[in-house]
Amino acid sequence: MKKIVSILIGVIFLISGCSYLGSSPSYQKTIIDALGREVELSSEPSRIIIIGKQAPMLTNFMYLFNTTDKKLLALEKRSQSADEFLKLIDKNIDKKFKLERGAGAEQVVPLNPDMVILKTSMRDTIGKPLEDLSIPVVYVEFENADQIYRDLRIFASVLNEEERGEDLISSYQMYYQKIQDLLKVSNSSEKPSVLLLQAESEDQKYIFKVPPANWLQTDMVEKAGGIAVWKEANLAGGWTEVNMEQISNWNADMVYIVNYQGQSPEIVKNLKNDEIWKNLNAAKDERIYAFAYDFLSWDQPDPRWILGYGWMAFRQNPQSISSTDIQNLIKDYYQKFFTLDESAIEEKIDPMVADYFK
Amino acid sequence: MNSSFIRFNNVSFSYFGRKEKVIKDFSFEIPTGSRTALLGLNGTGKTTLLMLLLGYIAPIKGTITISKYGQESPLTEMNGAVGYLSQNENIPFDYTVQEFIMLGRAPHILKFNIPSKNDIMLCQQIIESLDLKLLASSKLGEISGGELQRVRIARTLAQEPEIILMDEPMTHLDIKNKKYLNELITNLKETGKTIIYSTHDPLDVLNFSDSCIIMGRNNTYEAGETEIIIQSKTLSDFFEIPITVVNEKGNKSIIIH
Amino acid sequence: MKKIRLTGLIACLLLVTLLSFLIGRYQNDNPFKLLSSNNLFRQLFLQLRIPRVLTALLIGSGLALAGLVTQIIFQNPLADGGLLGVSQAAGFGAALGILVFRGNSIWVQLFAFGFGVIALIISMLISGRIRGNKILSLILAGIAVSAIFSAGIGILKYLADPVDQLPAIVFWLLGSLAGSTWPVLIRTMIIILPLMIFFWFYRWRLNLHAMDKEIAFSLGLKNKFELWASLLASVLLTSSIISISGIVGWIGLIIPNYARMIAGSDTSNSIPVTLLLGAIFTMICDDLARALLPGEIPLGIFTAFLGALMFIGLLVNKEKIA
Repeated sequence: MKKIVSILIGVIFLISGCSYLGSSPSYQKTIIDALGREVELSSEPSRIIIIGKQAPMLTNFMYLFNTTDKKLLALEKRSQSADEFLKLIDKNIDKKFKLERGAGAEQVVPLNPDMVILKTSMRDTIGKPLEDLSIPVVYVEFENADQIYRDLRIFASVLNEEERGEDLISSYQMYYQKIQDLLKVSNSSEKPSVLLLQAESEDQKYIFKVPPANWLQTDMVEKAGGIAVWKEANLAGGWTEVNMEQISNWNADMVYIVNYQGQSPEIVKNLKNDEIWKNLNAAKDERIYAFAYDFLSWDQPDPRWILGYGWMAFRQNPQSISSTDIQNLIKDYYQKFFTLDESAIEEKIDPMVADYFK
Repeated sequence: MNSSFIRFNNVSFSYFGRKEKVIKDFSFEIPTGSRTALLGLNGTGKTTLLMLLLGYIAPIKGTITISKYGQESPLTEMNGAVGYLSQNENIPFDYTVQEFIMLGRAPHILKFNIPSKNDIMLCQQIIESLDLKLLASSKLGEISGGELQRVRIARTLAQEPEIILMDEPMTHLDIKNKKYLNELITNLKETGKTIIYSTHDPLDVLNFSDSCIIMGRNNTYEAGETEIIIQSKTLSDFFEIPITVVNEKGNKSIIIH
Repeated sequence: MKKIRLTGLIACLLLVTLLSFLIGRYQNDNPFKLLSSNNLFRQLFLQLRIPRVLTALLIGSGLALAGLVTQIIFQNPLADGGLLGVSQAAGFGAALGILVFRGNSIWVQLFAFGFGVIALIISMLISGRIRGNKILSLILAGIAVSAIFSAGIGILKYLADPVDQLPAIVFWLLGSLAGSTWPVLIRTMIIILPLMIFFWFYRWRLNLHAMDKEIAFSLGLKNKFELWASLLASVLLTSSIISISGIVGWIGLIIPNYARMIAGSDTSNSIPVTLLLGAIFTMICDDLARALLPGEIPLGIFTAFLGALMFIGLLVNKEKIA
């Protein structure tokens, strides 16, 4: 009798031990996301979805890593030029599932993801429902340099590519430092006043908006050695429309025109002929610049932010930074960050960017 | 003497979508320049009759005409010459008495004009003749019910109507105002206007009206000179309660049992 | 007495107009000196500031007038020009224009204007099927039409690109004169001035519409023609203004009530005062909208805020609104 009982107990232990082994393939990870949440992972995420606000830019950041193309399950439909870029770096991009813009939790769940990446602001609308369904959600921010470094580490952790993550960060920091060093050389007492405007065309008129004081654009303008004239007005929230009188009142030494449809060169050309704009200092000194743009505008919280920064540093300090400096930066960047080879860069990137260095 | 009549020729009317006729095969004559009273229990169609006279609604059968010197023409062709005083009036904005009375001049003012000096003078005359001079600048909301009734009549008079229709003009007035209104109507009649009004007071009809129309249920009616119509039997039938008309040597009275 | 008040208001209008010309974000020096010496300022002043102030003047009086006419026709002191769903429909049209034509302003204007008129037609068709009081049935139809287009705006907002289209729609729905230029002003005047002239000459007879329908009939309003004409003119006025400025609320509601407080209920008196007050109020609001902060603030925010304050003042000071 005792023998049978002990054998039974042994078998029970054995079975439970086996099932225990079967359920967890020795993967255990805790990720701390941008909201400070602890996300427990019991398997390596291989069905990742990124949706919500600024999903295209978050996706771009994720494509800085090597295993993204295998692990990214679905992405949101984007503007045409952004899609072109992804085609360049991921040949299989069309095989990925495409979600409609504005897709929410209901569209995501049927795809059975094991990881959803969202911006922190999306928690209430998309995040919470997913969390309630026990789908792992990781929130990121990517709104300024520090956040970019932190959130890249989070991505690195999600993708199990910690080394690559550190590599990217140190590259960014290296570029940043390089630009800073070049800036130190310049006579820093002569900081130009800078106005950054997003221009939208409406019929024959343009609407101009300035970014909030706490956004990346404002920060970068100042770090690139300039005085952001709209900062003192302390406009918070989102892009704020300013009228021509206000633009004239600021009368900045330099004006950047940002346009998210890639039309800034044409807009700048039209402004140079405009009766009112002709009278501005920036027009008289020929310092109205179309903000650099390849597949996306370089002013946004996107992996290209460092290029935007470098380009601005060049524009704002032409005597100490040359266009060659920045063009070399671009080459180096695309090789290191998106593993494009030189010929691809020459063929695809350079022509797009050439206009902005004139 | 009087060759002018308002004629109802076999008039029938029912409201849209309703089968039962409110007015059926009415035929009668009202001489112009007379005072005609409209009597009847509530719901017998008095207001409908006034609306038909006004031209606001049209008969589904028959015609309403006015004959002058033997010529008959539809009543509706008299533009602005028919004045109307409703029983209750909703006035959503606080006009002054003189502004309100001036509105009566509308049929005489061209569509894209404003009142002329002549219009203003005329209204002044009416205001004075109705003892409203002191109230001329008061707002309608500030005056009493009796005063408002006078103001509304003044507005109707400003129209210079030939025919004046009034829907229960006495109903909400106190005795003093009733007397005043009564005298006013008599004066108006004497200037040649045709007054047709509905009332619940048979005695008033008996004393002051030249002709009357009494309406009852099931499209019954009687119309003609007051002396002939206002009889005990007629009143009892139409009002469905016993009424006795007493006429003692010119002293008339009505007894309701 | 009446003449003094009117003259006083006209003087006030001229004063506010002049002051508005002197206000703006470009404020370096004495404006008179600047005009002669600074070419930039001259350009700004002539090309942007003057047309904008005049546009505010025009749409202010136009919206106030449309509000007054609507209040008379519907015999309701709390109505405004957008009563028959016109505002929501015009807003829907504009949002549609922004979505479909990517913010090309001519189309936005045409759509806003067109849908405003469509709302009137739909309201008329629906009310034609409702038995009973014409005015009441129009109001009921208008509520329904307003709700439909309001829902439509919600859908369009949902479909809009949150980056470039949605902010444009929202800004438009709050009203703004930021795009005012001479061409826009001239285009607006061509439509609005004839309508205002129509109502100017009609300003006494309009009173009749405030009367009970039987009374009005006896006084010469024999058919619905004048009613529909006035209503259509008012809707055209509202629609065409909304098509250039977006939905600017409260002007049509509050200004006529104040005008009546000053000049009495007779529309031959209250219309001139309404036009003047509407212009003065709107110019002040737009001065704040364009000059208070570096960034443009939607005009509708100030008209709502100041309008609501004035409304409270009205309620507190009078026993009834008349």
